[in-house]
Amino acid sequence: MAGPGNSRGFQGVFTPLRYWLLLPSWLVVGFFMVAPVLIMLVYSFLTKEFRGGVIWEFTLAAYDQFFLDRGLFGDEPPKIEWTYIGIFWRSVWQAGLATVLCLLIGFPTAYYIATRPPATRNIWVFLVTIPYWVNLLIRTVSMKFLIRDNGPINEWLLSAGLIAEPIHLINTPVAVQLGLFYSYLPFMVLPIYAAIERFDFSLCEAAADLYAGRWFALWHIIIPNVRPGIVAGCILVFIPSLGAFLAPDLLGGAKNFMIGSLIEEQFKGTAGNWPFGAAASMILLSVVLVVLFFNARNRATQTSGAGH
Amino acid sequence: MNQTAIDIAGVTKFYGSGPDAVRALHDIHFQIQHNEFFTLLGPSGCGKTTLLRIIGGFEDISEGTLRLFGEDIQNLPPNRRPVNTVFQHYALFPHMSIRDNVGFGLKMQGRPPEEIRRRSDQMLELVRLSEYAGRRPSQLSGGQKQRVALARALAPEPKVLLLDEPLSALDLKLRQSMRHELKQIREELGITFIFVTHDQEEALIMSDRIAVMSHGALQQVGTPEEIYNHPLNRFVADFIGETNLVEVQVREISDSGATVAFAGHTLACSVNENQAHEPGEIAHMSIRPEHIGITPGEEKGDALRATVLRKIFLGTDIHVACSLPTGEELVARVQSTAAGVAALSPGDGVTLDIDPHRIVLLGD
Ligand SMILES: Nc1ncnc2c1ncn2[C@@H]1O[C@H](COP(=O)(O)OP(=O)(O)OP(=O)(O)O)[C@@H](O)[C@H]1O
Ligand SMILES: [Mg+2]
Repeated sequence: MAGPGNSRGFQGVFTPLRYWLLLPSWLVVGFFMVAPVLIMLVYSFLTKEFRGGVIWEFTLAAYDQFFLDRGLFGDEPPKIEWTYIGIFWRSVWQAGLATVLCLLIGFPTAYYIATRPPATRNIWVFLVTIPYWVNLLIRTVSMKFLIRDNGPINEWLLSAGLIAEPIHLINTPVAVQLGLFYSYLPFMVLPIYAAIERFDFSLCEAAADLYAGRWFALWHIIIPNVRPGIVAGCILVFIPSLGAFLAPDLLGGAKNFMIGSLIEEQFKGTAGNWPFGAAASMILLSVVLVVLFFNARNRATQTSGAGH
Repeated sequence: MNQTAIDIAGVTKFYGSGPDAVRALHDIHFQIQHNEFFTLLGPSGCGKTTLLRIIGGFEDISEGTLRLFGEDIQNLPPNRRPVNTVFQHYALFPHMSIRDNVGFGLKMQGRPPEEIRRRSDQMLELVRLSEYAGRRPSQLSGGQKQRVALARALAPEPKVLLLDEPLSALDLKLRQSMRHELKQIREELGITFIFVTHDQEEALIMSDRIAVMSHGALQQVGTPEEIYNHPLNRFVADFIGETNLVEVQVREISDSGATVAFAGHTLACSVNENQAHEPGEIAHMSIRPEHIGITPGEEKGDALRATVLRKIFLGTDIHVACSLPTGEELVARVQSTAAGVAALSPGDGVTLDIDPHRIVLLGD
């Protein structure tokens, strides 16, 4: 933010040493993050073996299967296959909705926490993260237990006379949405909290001094300044929601399949189709990359204007 | 014309509550006239910013009342007070250009876009930052930011402008010209200025009246001349300008002044109004260095004799520190061209001559 080249640290000083010190990171990132993706990329172009696994023979069959319908015996003229695109679209839609819900609930939560006295903030952050010390699978199963037709929530509502019949949630898209929202809410709260905590509230005083109301200050002073936190939160919720499989599997059932479940199926037991799973993963990855690319470009244009 | 802009009565401010409460202001009383250049002066931590924030509406009052042009504004939020602030730490909006920062208040007032643009540019010209209009605050130096903060607060033409040490980040040259500029702006626009500084020289140069504060309490309110020539107490005498504070014993009190015993001599001095002294009492007296004359050589008779301790050259003037036979030390400030002064060296005997009209007997 201050001088030129500030963000680059000590660049130019101790350069050879710098490369050596960075080497472990490069190895870890290269080996454990890039290599698996490359393996997936290669597998998606291989021929499937019937008991799981692959045969080393190049084919586009997996992508063909994802996008095109050639009839039951594969001899009809190709039409677009809507099944998987439908699942995909449902995933994007569910993940997008989860992101919006998390933002709507997460922003006020983060704002509230960040504006508490410093001593109590950590307690609030701790409270927000407590459930996340429990495994995601167990949390999702608990959620299923809570919202099922004869679960505690329905029983309570029934006995209180608020509803006549249990609200049916299990195996509906609503249940999947609840699961996603609940699973990823902290990923929204924490980055926004961090951004608001760093925000200089004397800017709001300056805005009020210059006749701005509270809502105007929120929209035009606070939000533009904490936007990086909001964007980070949205990415951190959207991307794992897109690939989620526990919530759709356990809460949504077969009709509410999401892309994550589809991929998971392909690698489970002997019934799967590895190349198809790999191809679906690559398609999912491309969507994610497009999202990240637009974010990066957006940020680049913003900061080149702001100059920091 | 002589309308009261701000009336502060019995204002006390506590930060926090219960046993940990910090009292930042204690029973502050004063009135500021419309169009006045009023300065709050005091050392760091004395409550200047707190008082300014109370007027701006950013802090509430624990006790007392605050009136703006006769209207009680205690319950008015900051965005509904016709008061703008130049913040001590600028508080410029980092995501807006300099021009948009300056135009912010005008936009909030709902003025038409052409007018906002015209007036923002006019304000930027006033603070000599026109060529920076398109930049962001992070691309400016501290002094430039301070000037943007000034332009931003002036743009909506507030009735009262609060300035929290607005010149502190500027270099000497720029500060001097901005002092001049600020006075001029105020005269042109007819705005009441409440100016905070801990620089007594700045306060003396710029203000119509000064309120000297210390530890959250008001010490004295008056014109620069009154504050300088008739300080009410030791704190004010010491804080404003340079002075010799000496202990004296009061001999006699009369209508026109008093006589006191100092270093074996009897001196006449003036006494401030409303200040009670008893004969025989030990009190303090302020003697400004420039009111002490020095003659080389020890004269006979009743004169005040002293020995030179050290000499400090200040350009046109020289500071001469002398010790009296009774042990007190006095500093005199004389022109470096005065007869015989240049030749003085430590150990020399001199005769001091104190102007009785200029010595003030101080309250506590
Ligand atoms: N938010 C706060 N909570 C508790 N105490 C505070 C708070 N703000 C200020 N104080 C205390 O109140 C007193 C007055 O502070 P203030 O900021 O008004 O001083 P100041 O005269 O403006 O000083 P400076 O010249 O350093 O800016 C100080 O002792 C300070 O520690
Ligand atoms: Mg201050």
